[in-house]
Amino acid sequence: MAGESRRARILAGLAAPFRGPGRGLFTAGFIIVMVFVVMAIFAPWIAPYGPTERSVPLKLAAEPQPPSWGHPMGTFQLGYDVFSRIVWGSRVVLYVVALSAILSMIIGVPLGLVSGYYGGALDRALSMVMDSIYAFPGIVLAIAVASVLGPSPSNAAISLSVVYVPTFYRMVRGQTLEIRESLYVEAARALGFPDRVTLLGHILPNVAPTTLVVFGLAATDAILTEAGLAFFGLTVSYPQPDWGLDLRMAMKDILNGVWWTTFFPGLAITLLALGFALMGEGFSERYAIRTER
Amino acid sequence: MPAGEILVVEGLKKYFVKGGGFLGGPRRVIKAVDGVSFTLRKGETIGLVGESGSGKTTTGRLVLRLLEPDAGRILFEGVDITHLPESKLRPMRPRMQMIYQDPYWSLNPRKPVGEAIAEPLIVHRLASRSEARERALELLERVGLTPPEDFYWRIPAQLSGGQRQRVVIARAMILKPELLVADEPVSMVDVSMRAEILRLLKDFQREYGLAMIFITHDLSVARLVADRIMVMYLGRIVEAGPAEEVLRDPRHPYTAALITAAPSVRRRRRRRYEIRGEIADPSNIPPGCRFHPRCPRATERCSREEPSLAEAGDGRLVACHNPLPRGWLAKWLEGEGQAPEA
Repeated sequence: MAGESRRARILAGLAAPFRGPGRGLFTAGFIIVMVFVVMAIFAPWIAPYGPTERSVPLKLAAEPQPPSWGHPMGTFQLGYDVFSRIVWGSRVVLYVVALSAILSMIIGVPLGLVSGYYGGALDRALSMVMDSIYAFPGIVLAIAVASVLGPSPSNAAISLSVVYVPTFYRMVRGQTLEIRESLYVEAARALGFPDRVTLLGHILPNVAPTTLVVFGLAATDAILTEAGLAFFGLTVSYPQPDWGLDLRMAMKDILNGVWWTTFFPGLAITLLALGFALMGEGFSERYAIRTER
Repeated sequence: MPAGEILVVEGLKKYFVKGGGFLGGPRRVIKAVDGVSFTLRKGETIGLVGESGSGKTTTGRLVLRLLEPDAGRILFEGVDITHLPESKLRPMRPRMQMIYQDPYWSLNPRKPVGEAIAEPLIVHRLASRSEARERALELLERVGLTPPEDFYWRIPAQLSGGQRQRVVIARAMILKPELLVADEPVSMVDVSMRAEILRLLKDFQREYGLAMIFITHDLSVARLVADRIMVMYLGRIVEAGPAEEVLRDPRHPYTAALITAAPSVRRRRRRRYEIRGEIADPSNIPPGCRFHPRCPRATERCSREEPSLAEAGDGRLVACHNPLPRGWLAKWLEGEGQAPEA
């Protein structure tokens, strides 16, 4: 009995955002994000060309070619297919974004929990550090950290997570402060539960929905910031594909009336950001309803 | 300590400081509990009654060391727990449990109730996970949430207030405690469910030989469950004694006022022993007897001198300079005599 019901509960929990208030937003965002995830995973089968493959005859490769049946999004200079580079580029983008959001969650959530629950000098010190990081403009900080670490997707992810740790920390700390005062936390103390049990079993599960909303926010922002890092060549190096880097390489095209080399990579960045934003928004709408009794 | 006593409380005090500091407004000291002493025997129920703001709940939380006392002593089974660090206290906590007034917020909203009941056994390593689940199912059945399999995985939002309170009771009882502080356990529960929940508590008490501090503002509930009654006013006990006798023959004017103020279905013609005004601000306790501004029997002495809780015969303790005469209430309710002046 117990096993089946537990499985049923987990399934119901996973399906929860697709039901109830905010389900439209969440589902739309989920579909957008999944399209890009599928793209990234099956890139070799979806992309008609390799990311650095000359896809047009040599004499046409000197100039970007406009969209056509063979190249629905046109080509870059050197004959790289725009669509193919977007598909391949989604790998780098998703890797950096997912890694940075997960890293900052893994670091920010426990720090927020401990800080909010115990308070005291540790809380004051942590809050000060986090607030000073938070006060920096994200992109500036990420560029600074990434320049120190050196250009690579993993380093970009690390520098992005430095930016988003305070976001998780502040949200979780605030919620923990509130929940700490609740009757069920006092009840846990009355039952003689050690702090570890109270924190992980009673406070964390009630902070989790907020954490997922913050995850959506952080991921959204990270996509834009990642594009910025890529723009400055701090993720991969040309000619490897990354949307932000393609934007930079195509910048000079704008003046020549070539719009497709900037429009489509830009569209990809915007769409993926929108997808995460919608998921977060839908989730928070549902969560807000659920907290009322 | 004489045998049979599970809890001895001496001179317990708790002051809360509000305000003060930068822009905090004037500093006020709220004397929530101001010198409370009593003993509780094994298997006995003390009904702690009084208006809201009298310090009943604070007393209950102090006794279980959920609040730090400012003065006094708490002996649990002969062990002084007044200043025991939480780490030493933790292994003792399963033996003293609490049930809260609010069944909505005393349960983790995201934990299935069966898991919530099983958790104390698992955390204190009193049973394996599967044994604990087994016991939780038994207790669910025992508290009337049947069939237990249907309730085990529900979250609190899927239960009514009365059902949640049963879960809270089951969670406390799975530890087989020796002391239970029940803080208004039925005041937020539907009236139709109250009797059943009280009976449940009584059954557990008989089975485990549980000693209980039952906090309530409702004298009819206190009459049902309590062996002894302690009446609290502004952080002090003003009258204490066997439940039946205190309610039949109150000696403190405040107790008399509480009893006659309670609505009764049976009594047709009701006379109320009226007291003036409302309970005073606990940050500004009147001098002398703290009840004197409201007391119909107050004299000049009452505004000067604070009465101590003194023996008034037959195990009754009264803190009053001019207690009501014996057998007074019955006569007064018959309509004989006026509200006696001192």
